[in-house]
Amino acid sequence: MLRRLLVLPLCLLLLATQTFAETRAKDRVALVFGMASYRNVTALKNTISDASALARTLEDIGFHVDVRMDATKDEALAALDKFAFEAETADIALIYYAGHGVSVQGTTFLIPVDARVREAKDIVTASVTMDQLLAAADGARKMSIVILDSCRDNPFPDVIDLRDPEVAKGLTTGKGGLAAPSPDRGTLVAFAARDGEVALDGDGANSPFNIALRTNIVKPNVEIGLLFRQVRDDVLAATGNQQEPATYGSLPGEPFYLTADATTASPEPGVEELAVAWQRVVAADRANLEKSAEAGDTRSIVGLALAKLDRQSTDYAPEEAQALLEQAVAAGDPDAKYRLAKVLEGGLGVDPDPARALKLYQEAAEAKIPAALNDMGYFHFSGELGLTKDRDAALALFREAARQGHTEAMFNVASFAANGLVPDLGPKDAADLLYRALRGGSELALDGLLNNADKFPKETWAGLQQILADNGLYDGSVDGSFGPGTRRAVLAAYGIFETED
Amino acid sequence: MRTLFATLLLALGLVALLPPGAAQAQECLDSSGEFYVTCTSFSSDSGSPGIGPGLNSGSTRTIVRILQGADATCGSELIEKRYRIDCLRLYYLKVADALPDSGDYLPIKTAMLDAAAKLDAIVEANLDERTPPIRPREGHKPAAKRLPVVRPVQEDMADIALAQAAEVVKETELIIIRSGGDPARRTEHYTDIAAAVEDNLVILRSA
Repeated sequence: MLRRLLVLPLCLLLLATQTFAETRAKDRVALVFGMASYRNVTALKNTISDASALARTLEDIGFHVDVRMDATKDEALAALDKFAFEAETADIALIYYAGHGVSVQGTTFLIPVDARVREAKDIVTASVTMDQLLAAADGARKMSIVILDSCRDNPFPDVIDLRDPEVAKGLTTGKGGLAAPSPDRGTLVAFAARDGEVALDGDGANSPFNIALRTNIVKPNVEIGLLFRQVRDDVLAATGNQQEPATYGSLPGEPFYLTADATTASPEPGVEELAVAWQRVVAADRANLEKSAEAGDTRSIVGLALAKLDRQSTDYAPEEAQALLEQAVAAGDPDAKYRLAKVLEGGLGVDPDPARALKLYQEAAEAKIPAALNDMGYFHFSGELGLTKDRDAALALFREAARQGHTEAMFNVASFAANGLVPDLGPKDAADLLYRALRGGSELALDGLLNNADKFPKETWAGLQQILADNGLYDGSVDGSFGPGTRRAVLAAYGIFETED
Repeated sequence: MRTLFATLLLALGLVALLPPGAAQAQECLDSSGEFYVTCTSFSSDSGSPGIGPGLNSGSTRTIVRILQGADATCGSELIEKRYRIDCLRLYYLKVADALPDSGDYLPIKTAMLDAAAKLDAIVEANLDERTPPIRPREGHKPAAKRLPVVRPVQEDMADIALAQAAEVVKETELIIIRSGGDPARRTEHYTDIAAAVEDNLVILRSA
């Protein structure tokens, strides 16, 4: 028996608790490092003023900023640990590092002020790695940004010969590569200079990169992909093309701003909201977006396409939108396949085409797009889009998506596990998945859990209560009963804090 | 049964999502002065003059009011359980009757007619021919207009029949959710809001 339910909009959920006031966790958090007074290597001149200036700028545009100057390795790691927890309930987490760094065979080591490096292998134990910075920012719900304002040349020329291929072998951190980024959430890594290039200090108190960054991030309504393109252009101009900043990573499917004017709300990722949001980018910066699209940037092509689906805009042209999406699909862009599938499934301005939608969902899922994997799981579960119901297939897809950090998929796997339908996962695993889905910021998971508390057995609730207690979010008894205290703790895990009036 | 109605009304709470400033549906009283909110009545035979083809908050509010009437009449303790399914069917027909045969409300109209037919089938299958039908007043108010004839199901089959009716309500709810909002928003409802519950398994689509 298949039954449908309405997942309550969050506002309705909150209306039910009018006797409580609620506060939301900080939606943008930043951690700023400035390293200058090195004890064992050359001290740096501008890093403290660069870090201070950027911290002030970030505060001005609404970031909650933690500033750590001249941090030792232990202090840096403790700050990263604290930041990682805060980042989980924030939309944007940004880490800025100004100080010495060295890049060896693709691993970037950042040097705390107490680093003592007598031989090459010491660098692993003495430094903080780029991976650790990325991991600390990775929990953010929409965008993780790591900015490295550092020349990754070699501060230890007497100890490490970067030309020696044997050196790299001794410097492995034992960590694998980063997980495949989800298109729902963006990760951006910005370097002040390309690998091996020197980042210039400039003539004044701040480096050219720092100045360009601060100048551009305060500009309202500049989409982040276009913003860092502008930073690069400014630095190239200021340094006579000697220094070229580089960015890596994947940007979210929705347009994203570090500074937005008062009328800008960050969109939820429904297709209509995406359409409206991209239309705003077009209105503000059409030339740059079109330039990127012409250069073959599929994200810009998809953005232009979605902008044409905004019914309120004079640019509304669903057929052109479909043609642009087809262009990005033909270029093999899996995210474009997922977007086009949604348009064709729902008939957004075009005739619905469930068969083609299914094919595109399948292709996007084969390309491991987490949202597509989860939706394909949903179709197998519910028997929609002409599929035969198949729970085994659904669960396998949910697990694959959950492994990639997809929060609704985590919830779905938890649902199976809580009901004893996953041989290798028990109630504690279900609880852990539910907690991670909440920390990951899934509003659907929050609503799905609170509105279907009875669908999760006591053992799962007890497991969740224990995790909430371990993280300082719950002080009631771990008895598996879902009551007001547990409800409050679940909301807190998501990032909503209720206090009695 | 109250929960059953409240759930449906909750779905229609999507009225809050509809465009602000949308046209208000015409509201009027019938000759008795008691039959509230809409110019249609159980006996009207064509679309409401108050509801146009395009979705707007006023029209949706009119539908909500009719269904609130269903809650007040069919969900009341004043009506025996065995009459409730047929009572709800009449309100569904009333909603369908209030809606035009084209435009954005057509899916809701079709859903309401389908639901009414399914409720009719449930009543027919469990009909208690030995108990007389009733004609309750709207909202059980003394001076209110009476509903058309409401048929009972057999007493011992009432709970099973009500469970079947609840399923019909759930199905209808989804269709209404998916029709809520302007067409640009519809894709979101088709793809983002839906969740499935089956055998205690709550399954979410991607946000």
